[in-house]
Amino acid sequence: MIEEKQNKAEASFSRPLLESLDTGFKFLRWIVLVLVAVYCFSNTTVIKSDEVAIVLRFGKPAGASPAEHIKQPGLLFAFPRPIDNIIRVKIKRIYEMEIQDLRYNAQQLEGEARSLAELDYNTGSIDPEREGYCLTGDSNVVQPFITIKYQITDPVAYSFRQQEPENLLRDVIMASMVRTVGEMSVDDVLTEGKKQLTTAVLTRAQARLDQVNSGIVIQAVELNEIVPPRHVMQDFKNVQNAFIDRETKIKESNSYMEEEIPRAEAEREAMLREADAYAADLLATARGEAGAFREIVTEYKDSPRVVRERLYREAIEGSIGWSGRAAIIPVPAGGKYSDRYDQLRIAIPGE
Amino acid sequence: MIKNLLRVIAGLAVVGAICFYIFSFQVQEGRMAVVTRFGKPVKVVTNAGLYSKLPWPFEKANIIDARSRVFNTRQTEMLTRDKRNTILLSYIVWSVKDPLRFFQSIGTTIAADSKLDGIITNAKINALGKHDLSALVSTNPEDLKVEEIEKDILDNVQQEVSDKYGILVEQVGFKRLSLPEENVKYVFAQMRAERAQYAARYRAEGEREASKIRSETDLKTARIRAEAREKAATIKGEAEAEAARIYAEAHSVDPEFYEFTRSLESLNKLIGNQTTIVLRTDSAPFNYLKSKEPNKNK
Repeated sequence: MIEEKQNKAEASFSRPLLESLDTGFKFLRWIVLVLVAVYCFSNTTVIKSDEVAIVLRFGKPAGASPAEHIKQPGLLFAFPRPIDNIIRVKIKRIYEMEIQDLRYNAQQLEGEARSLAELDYNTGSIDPEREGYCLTGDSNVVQPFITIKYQITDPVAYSFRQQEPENLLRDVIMASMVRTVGEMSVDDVLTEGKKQLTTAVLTRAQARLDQVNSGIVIQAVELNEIVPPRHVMQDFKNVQNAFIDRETKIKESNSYMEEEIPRAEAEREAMLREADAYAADLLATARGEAGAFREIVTEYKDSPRVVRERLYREAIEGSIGWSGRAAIIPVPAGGKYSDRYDQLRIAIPGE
Repeated sequence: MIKNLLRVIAGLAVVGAICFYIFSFQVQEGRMAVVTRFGKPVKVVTNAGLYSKLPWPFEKANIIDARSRVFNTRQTEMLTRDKRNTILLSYIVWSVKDPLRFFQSIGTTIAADSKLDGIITNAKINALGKHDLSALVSTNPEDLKVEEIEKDILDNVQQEVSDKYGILVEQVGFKRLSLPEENVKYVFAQMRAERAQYAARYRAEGEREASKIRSETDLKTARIRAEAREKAATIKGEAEAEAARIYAEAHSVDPEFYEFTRSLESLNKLIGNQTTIVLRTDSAPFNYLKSKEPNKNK
């Protein structure tokens, strides 16, 4: 067709013009050739190390078996566009998704919405149209903020089984959250049960994903925050404070106990030591004195008079020595004391 | 010659490409197609691949996305069996099962969404009316019937849409469960009361525990001290008894002499620095000092 047109044109145009056209066409031919070559290799590409590719040949995944549908990283040869279509899926990558729909999010509420949120703070309620939450098994309201980590494990299912895999993921997570919180008590949800909660959410959500063959595997469900609504926040804080008060009081009395009992025990030790010392001292004195007495008795048996007198004199000397006053009454002229001094006479024993 | 041949080939390639474009259509993996001739369906394609058709305006390939689609219903207020108002926001996962029926009855997925919305809402109202609120939220696992309710809704919806619209409902879930704004107020009031009760309980427990520990401590320390006193007294008593025994044993050697030494000791103890002693000179020790012959009496 092109040939014919050119021939017709040659007949009616002048020669120089034809010559220049001819060179032009030659040049154009090269451009066309280059363009054809570029087109032929337009779908040849490098698959990066964190991704795989699926080649759709006339709309169908190329490769005989499902395993061959997935092209591993490396250089990939594929036919140009209407024939082949390359779909890349990052299967190594861990994706993250934040779910804010079940919490009060002041940043998300702008302008009028924000003042409306304040209004419903004042009315003491939550409009379900504007703000999400979960109901616990014991009819309390809590608001979680969740982050999901997930990975695409089946690129074929991910690409060809779901129109909006991310929306599906968000919805199954929310449903699992609502379901799981709905079977727990508020105290569990806010304290010890968090781990149990995220585990159950992950299990339930994954089961839902698998049921519709999503090609997604949830790696982690993270509870960034789970709080009672702002309206009753203060009441929950009060409980926390009361709890801390209780712990403090118990701790204080425990430390009282830890101080007082060792103190009493130390006192006991001191008392017993003191008693032991007293006993030892008493016995030592007794033994000493008994020994001394025995010795003196032996001596006394040998010469009773001497010992008696010595002891007596020592005693008198000592007594006079430390007495306040000593009055010595000489023998009256008659050589005889009157009777009233008789009692003053100290007899030497045995005399 | 060769030059001409090349030209012919190039020409044929271009013509071929144009024919290919006009006479064929591709169905991608996950899609289906209904080919219509002047608006009348003539062919249904359910597998991906390359298919032929007459050029437009004779035949048209209507591609239908057969991948699963997630649709969220409106928030609708409904009553449970125990007459509690609840608001359920649910999602539904559905896909086209019968492309021809789907194409003839609805046509587009977006139109299908709005059809489904009404059907699901009806099914939801029916299903929820059979259960109490405790089937949705309860700490007693036996009360919870969420999965049954979801299944009930799914079955109902499925029954209605599968024959009529060629749709397969794959999953139903409740992504939000709320109470009407008015009721939340009472929930909050109840939460407050419950918290106040907890706080009071903790405070009372704190007092009780603390005073219990303190009084236990006091009791323990008192017991320790009493025991110590008793033990010390026993030790001292035993020592005194032993000492008395030792003394008695020694003194029994010569009781008379012991009495003598004991009196001397008493003398020592009786005379203090305030005592005045009056002595006769003919009594000891002066009698000896005065006598010319010492120990005359002896």
